[in-house]
Amino acid sequence: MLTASLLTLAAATAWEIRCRAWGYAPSLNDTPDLWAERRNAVEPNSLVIIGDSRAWFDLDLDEIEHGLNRRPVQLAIPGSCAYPVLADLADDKNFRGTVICSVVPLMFFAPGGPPLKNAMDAINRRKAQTVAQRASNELGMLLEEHIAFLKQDDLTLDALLDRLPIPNRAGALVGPQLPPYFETVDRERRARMFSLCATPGPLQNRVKHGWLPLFTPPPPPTYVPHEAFFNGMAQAIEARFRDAAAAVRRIRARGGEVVFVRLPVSGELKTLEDRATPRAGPWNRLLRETGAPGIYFEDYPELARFNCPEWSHLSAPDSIVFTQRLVPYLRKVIAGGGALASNSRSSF
Amino acid sequence: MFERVVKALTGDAVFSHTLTRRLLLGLGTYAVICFAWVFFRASSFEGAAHLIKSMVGAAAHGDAILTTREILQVSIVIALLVLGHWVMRDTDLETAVARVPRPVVVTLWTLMLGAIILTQGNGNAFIYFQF
Repeated sequence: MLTASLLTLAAATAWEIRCRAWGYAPSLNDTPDLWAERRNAVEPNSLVIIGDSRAWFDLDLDEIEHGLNRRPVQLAIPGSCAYPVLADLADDKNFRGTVICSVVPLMFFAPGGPPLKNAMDAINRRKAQTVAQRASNELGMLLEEHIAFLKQDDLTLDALLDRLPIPNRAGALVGPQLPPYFETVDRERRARMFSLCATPGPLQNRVKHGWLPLFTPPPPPTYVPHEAFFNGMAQAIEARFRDAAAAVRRIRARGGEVVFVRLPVSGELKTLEDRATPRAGPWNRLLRETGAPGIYFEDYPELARFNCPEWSHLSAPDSIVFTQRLVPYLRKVIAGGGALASNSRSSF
Repeated sequence: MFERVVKALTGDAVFSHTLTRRLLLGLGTYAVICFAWVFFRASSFEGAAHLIKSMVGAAAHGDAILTTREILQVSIVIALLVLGHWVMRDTDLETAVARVPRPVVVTLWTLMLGAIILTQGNGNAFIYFQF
């Protein structure tokens, strides 16, 4: 047993050195347990960030605290639809704080699939979290802060086996590849893009070119008539508008506020999003039906001039500058109860 | 339990000691376990029902959602698992390990520990760790 332990320790050390040579560094995994911990930190008057990975990368907690005198709680979940978390806050009768909600329409209005599942996994984990899971999360974080090869999406046995060049069956419904590890995450769930991804190179190219297949909806299932499928989709999207409006009303009724933000996107991904979900469509309707203020990055030259190196997120240094420039607009809508939206080009 | 029930029912029948009978009992036990695993692992009875329907070919449609890698991995692991149980039918783990040369035992322990470390996943790595 002692020999096996020593051999395992030697193998683990060699693996750690190899992973660091590949560019991996110690960082927390963004797990539902970590999300649950941050959700538990929400107080009645908290400032809360929800939404997709753009809110996770692009908004700097220090700058928001500096500008708004409240440290935000980061609850945005990469690859997720914001609605379940918005509804979770609306259902929390104690919550009367402010919500900054990032909207990527293709995700916000996703009727099902991974965007909804990613959000529900986190919410459900918080509701059903056991003491053992909480303790496991604490122990896991201690290790993850020091060991680079603990990467739940990239360096697990399954993920490593997936790298084997084994062709799939013809017609296999295999989803597009998720982006590799390209960010660090801290205990407050602040994500920062690696500098390696912010500069042109193989990592940036791999992340960048992974978005288009991920943002392209899968073909309708063959066993459901097309008309029935698209009717079902349309009904689900209509329901999302209604449900989002109801959630915003509930939060506002308690004295809280919700601000929708559209964060920068670049390159071919921007072209795809603008074509699939033009701003005049879901964004304007969302603001109209919820009555909530909105900040659309393209409306303000100082927010529009940022370039996302891998098309979807800002680099770590840019996220700080971007947040500094966003804060005055946030301050206006939070203090003015939505005054910015009614006065700006972002409304309707 | 499945094997014991079948043995009790068939008693000392002529075929009871044949290799074929033992093989059928082993495969029957494996089939019963496969169904039990579904209820052990599924998050809801509805999900378990979907899986059971797929397993018996009663699902309305069958999309190819597994990658070849996943199919190969599960096939290899299950084949080794069944083989391991077959070899261990008339002995116990301590006796079997005592017969294996020490370097082989050390190698197996090291591979198992390495697999646990590589599987990682914050306590979700192996379902048995959740109890």
